[in-house]
Amino acid sequence: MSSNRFVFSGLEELKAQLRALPAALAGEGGHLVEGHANGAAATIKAGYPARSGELRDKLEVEHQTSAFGARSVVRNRSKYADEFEYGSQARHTAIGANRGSMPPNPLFTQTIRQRRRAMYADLQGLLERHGLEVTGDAE
Amino acid sequence: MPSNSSDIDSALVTKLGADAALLALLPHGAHWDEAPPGSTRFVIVSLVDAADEPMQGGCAYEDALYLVKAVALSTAGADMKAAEARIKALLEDQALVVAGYTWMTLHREARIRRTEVDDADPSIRWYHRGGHYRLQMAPS
Repeated sequence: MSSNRFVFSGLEELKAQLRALPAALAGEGGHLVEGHANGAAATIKAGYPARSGELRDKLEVEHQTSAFGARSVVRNRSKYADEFEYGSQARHTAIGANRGSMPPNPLFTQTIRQRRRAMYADLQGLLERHGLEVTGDAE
Repeated sequence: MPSNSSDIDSALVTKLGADAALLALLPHGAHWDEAPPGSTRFVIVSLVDAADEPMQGGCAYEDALYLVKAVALSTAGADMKAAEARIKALLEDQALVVAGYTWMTLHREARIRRTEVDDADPSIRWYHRGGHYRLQMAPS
């Protein structure tokens, strides 16, 4: 009869760390997600023209967190947000001014995409600091 | 030949502006960011976002997102459905030839469709239809 045996030591500690991992990641990850969303909103707001203030005033950020995840949504509720983003043709404003055409200004989309890339890089760093190996791309 | 990102932009506009079928639908041609005053049926190409994928010693490839859309005044009689379809046929998985680059991929990531209504005269409406197209090109 063989007398070989494998001994695993530290399994209880590993199990405890694995059980705690989701909460630890959610906590730190949530801060990262919120920070990038707030940063994106600040960049977008600063880039909007300061005429009526409509575009700046209607920009909002909503954060949702749970024990296992975080979600932040940046949105602009102004009816002019699409026109600013995608461009507009010769038009008149409600007070009669002729605005002429405006080229697209993808401030919102570009800022969100740039911030999302930075967020993914930071989240990758977070996972690696917790001993996980990360491969592939988020996008 | 050294690569120049602006050549990619120009190649997109040229490809769309040279297509006879698309010109029949949108006779005022394809333009970067803005069409000339007085245009009522045209294509707009605009850069939304771009990132360079780095590699040791340089750039592995350029990853760009373009807005490509058909634009028409509501009274100009444009077939927007056909125009959007023609744009997609010209771009989706179609190679783009640009000196200094190797084409990798070109495909639509999202649709765009909106109606722009004039604030002072609601009878003045502009139709926008197209999408966000992702284009990846590797410097040769």
